[in-house]
Amino acid sequence: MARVISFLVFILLSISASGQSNALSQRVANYKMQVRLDPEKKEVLGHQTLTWNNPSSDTIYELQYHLYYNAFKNSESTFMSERGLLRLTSSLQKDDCNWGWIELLDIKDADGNDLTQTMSYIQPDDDNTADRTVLKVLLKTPVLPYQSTTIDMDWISHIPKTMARTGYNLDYYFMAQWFPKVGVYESAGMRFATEGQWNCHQYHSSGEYYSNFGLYEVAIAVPESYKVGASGELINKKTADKYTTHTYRAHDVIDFAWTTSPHFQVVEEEWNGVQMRLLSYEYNMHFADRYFTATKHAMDFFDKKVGDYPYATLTIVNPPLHGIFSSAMEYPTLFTVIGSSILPAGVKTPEIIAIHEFTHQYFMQMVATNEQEEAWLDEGITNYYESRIMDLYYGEHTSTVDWMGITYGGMESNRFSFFGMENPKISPIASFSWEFKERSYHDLVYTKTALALQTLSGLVGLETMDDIMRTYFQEWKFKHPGRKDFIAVVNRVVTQHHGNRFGENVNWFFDQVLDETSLCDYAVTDIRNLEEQNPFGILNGKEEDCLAPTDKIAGKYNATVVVQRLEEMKVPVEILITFESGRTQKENWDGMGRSISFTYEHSEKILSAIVDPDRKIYLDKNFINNSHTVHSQKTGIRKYTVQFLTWMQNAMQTVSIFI
Amino acid sequence: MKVIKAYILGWKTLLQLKKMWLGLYAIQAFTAMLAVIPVSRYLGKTVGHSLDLPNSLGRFDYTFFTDFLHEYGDGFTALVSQSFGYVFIYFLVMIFLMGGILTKIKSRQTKISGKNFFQGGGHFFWRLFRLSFYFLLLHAILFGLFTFLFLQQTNYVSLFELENELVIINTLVYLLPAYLILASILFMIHDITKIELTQRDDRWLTGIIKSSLQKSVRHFFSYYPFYLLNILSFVILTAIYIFVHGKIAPTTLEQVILIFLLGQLYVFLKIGLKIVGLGGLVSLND
Repeated sequence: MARVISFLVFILLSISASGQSNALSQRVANYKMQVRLDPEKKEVLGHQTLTWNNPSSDTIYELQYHLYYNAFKNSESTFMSERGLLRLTSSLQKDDCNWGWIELLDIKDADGNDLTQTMSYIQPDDDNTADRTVLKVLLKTPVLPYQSTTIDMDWISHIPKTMARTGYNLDYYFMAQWFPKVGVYESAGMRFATEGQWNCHQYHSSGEYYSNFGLYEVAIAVPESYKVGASGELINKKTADKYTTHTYRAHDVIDFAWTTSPHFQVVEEEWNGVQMRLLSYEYNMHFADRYFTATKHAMDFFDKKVGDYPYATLTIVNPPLHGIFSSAMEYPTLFTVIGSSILPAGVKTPEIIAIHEFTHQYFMQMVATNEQEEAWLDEGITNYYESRIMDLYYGEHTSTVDWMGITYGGMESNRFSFFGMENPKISPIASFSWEFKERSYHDLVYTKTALALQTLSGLVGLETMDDIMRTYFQEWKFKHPGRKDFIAVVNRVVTQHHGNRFGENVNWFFDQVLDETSLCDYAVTDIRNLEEQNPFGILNGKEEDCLAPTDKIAGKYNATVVVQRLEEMKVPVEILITFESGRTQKENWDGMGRSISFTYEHSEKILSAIVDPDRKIYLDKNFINNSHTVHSQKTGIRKYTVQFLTWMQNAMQTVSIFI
Repeated sequence: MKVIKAYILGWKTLLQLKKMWLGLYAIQAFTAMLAVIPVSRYLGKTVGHSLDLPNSLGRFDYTFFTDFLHEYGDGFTALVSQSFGYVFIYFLVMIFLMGGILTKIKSRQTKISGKNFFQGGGHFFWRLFRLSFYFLLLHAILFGLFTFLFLQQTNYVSLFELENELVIINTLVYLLPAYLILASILFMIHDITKIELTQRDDRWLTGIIKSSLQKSVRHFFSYYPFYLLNILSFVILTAIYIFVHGKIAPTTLEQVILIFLLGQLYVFLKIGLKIVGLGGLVSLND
């Protein structure tokens, strides 16, 4: 009973802390901040009041914070060690000492107790004591189940020059992961937690972030000539002493990012009541239309297929070239694009990035999965939708590049990236982000997952796939689902649509795709058209009755198609067989064995056969061997031979100009 | 007018040397075929029975190309690497043939015997080989110098050090034309030096190079416009080829044959333009 009352009190406190009765989320971590940028010192002086609502039935004795900026303090942090310092813009740090870090000045609880004496840096992922990206603060007063605590903190963010995703260059600033941010407390049963625990990983080179929903109210003071873009809505603007304070409010979000520069120009548009703002330098402004058009395509798509975009604003930041370190990244109601001004219309990188980053507003800004432990759940889903939306609006074979005769689309690009890996089997995609080997994180998490989801869509049908994603979004928005939650939705919806057609569930698919590293390759390896013949030899057991071979029976064939599974992954496949007359025959195979053959006694020969004729299995690594024809395709061979010949001749002539 | 006259004389020289022109094309085509035949066989063996092959004919099929590279690329790469060997062989053969070409152009006798042609090739081979090496080195130095200037101006294309991409574009706008002009002058001096070599027949190249430099400076305003005219002819020819080629999507055997003939005509005419250039310079030199 006491727990029920506590829970109800928690709900009421959450609402009052949020100051709004129509909260979309549980609002566990709520921040009120006042921050001031010092462009001379490259610092942000900050004060925050965190109202943290205990979402669990556990009593909490400590808070754990992310201090992401400390990853940029020196060469010894886990982030720097994993990434390899030289790969970063290390010369800038080495020469000018433009490192970044968070300097904590004061931490107090609601009773005014000084908590700096109880804080310590911890390393939950490795033994690297030099890493200071996770701060543990022991509380003088524990937080009871469903109760709240308030922590005041003063700090200085020393802004690094051109670091990963954040920092400054010239007078451009992009502030991401810039403030002390409380981690996520997961109660027992949530995601992988078997008991209540803090989920607050160190900052690793691969992988991104994970935090609770809450209400942010951030007052940002910058020199008055500087323009600001930030998550949420601008609710106040005041100028005093040559500084302008821009106050932003973002509700039901997991993070807060902002940017400022005196050179920003602002263009505004509107979509379905959402105020869209593009911040860009003047020489990049000619790309505004490309970004707005692409983003609106994505907004239309998600509105129809997945769910509403619930926020009033959307800010797009087009960084200058020297701010490219902040490009292509997502934050609540704000994302950054590419920062280029010369890409031709046929090179769709600006559109791809806009659509990709907008998709993140759904997966993981609203469906807030743990990006460090299950990156595939946000990057993979996002990449799947990015390719799908691009292919839909810009052409299946032209959505990535359509320039100077070279064309290819989103899903095609995913196949190239994944199968072009030196070793696509190197890590399972269910790995924690820092466990991926040999820099395989990006290709596996982004492209393999996208191909897997495209394959799932091919198997269950697009209508079912859309239902899966819509259901998943609606059930898990403003929450923190994990893999088992997503798979449970898939199983439920697939069963609703298809009964037991794919077995009791589709766990067999996810087990292979997430936990194994096997590849998929189905091939038609042989077609045999054998003319039938009357039996010959000793048939009756008597040597004197030995029958000699006779002529083959004209117009009667034993026609066989052989299909093989060349790799380890197993999926059900279809096979389409074409006979001489043009007649076709469709067969199904569960794909489990190593091979299967289909034999027909018929008056016609088989001309060709193709496994997976509708290209549903995008994870198949080789589409070329999916089909086999009896006759050699001479025209095709001649065409490429002629092209190669002309290329050789031109190469010879080119070198001969030096004679 | 002198330039136009030289240009016309260049074409007349080419038409007088039709057999040689055809012979040069035949040697080049034969050498290229040596590289291409194994590639054709490899294609037949790997993708010759796949429906993806005919399906890829009508357009740029990225999936087909990438699957081919991933699955069969190792063998293909080996064949392409081998073909670079044929390119090098052709390079050496062309040096030899250049001696014969220059001998023929110099003599302006249409009935010069094959023996004289090949004797000329042998006679000048090592000097032409050394000359090619020296000018290749000069081209490398010129290219290196402009690359250095470009990198200096653009902070070594460090994106974080640039205000925006216009810095790169603006640098290219003035550096690239300057480089192209100087490179074309270098090519021109090279051609004049070859002609000078066959006319003076000195053993040592330094005197010949010095003499050709002096001539290039003295007659710059007739040599260089002629050279530019020849380059313009090449550009126009290439533009026409690209335009016509783009209009044909080879999906049938007839279209493949058409593409083949178009490509061969282009190659043939480019060889001709080289002879036109040399012929015109010889007449200007006189």
